[in-house]
Amino acid sequence: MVSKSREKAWRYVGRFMDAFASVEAAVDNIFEIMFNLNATSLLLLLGTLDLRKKVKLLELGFEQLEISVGDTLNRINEFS
Amino acid sequence: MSFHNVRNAVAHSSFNPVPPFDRVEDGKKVHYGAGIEFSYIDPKGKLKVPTTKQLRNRKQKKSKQPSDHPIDEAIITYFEFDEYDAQLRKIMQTLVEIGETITPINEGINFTRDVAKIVASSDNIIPFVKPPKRDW
Repeated sequence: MVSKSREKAWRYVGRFMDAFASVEAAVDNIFEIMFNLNATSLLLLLGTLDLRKKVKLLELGFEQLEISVGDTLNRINEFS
Repeated sequence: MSFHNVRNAVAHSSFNPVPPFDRVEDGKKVHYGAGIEFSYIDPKGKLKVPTTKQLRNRKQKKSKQPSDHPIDEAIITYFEFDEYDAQLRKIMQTLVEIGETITPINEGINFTRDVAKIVASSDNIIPFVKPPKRDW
């Protein structure tokens, strides 16, 4: 029998991991569109780049496109 | 610290729920909210989960304890998790909106190529004549 407090802890950890994975999926989606990647390139790159590197590349891409995304990307890597 | 660090700490640690508790600090009773204690060891060898600077400062201000105090450094409270969740959902929403409007960066490269073609095709531009290659 699992205690309610333990179940609550599982729920909170699970929710956090789910939210983080959703952010990473949204980053992957932008990465795919921004660099116009085909399926093979996408799978190879996403498998080898960690989130920090992807975010760094997106920052460079947004600079190139002259799009300001505010502090959204910073909040993933340097949230304070 | 970053969400990335928090995620790694959460993903690679065993954890246990911690009930709320009160503690007397500097003669004052301080309340600590319920949360989850993680067995995460940071790169400096301390049992300390990464948290945001804001939350860390708030904790320190509230507890008036040194930053490496062991009791709440290994705990992420449910309140903190709620704040993380709200922030992550907000970031995700923004990223989804960006994803719906963004165009591929490669178009910029094509644009540069097009400009080069236009310049090269102009009548008043005399291209450099490359000297013939010599076979030595």
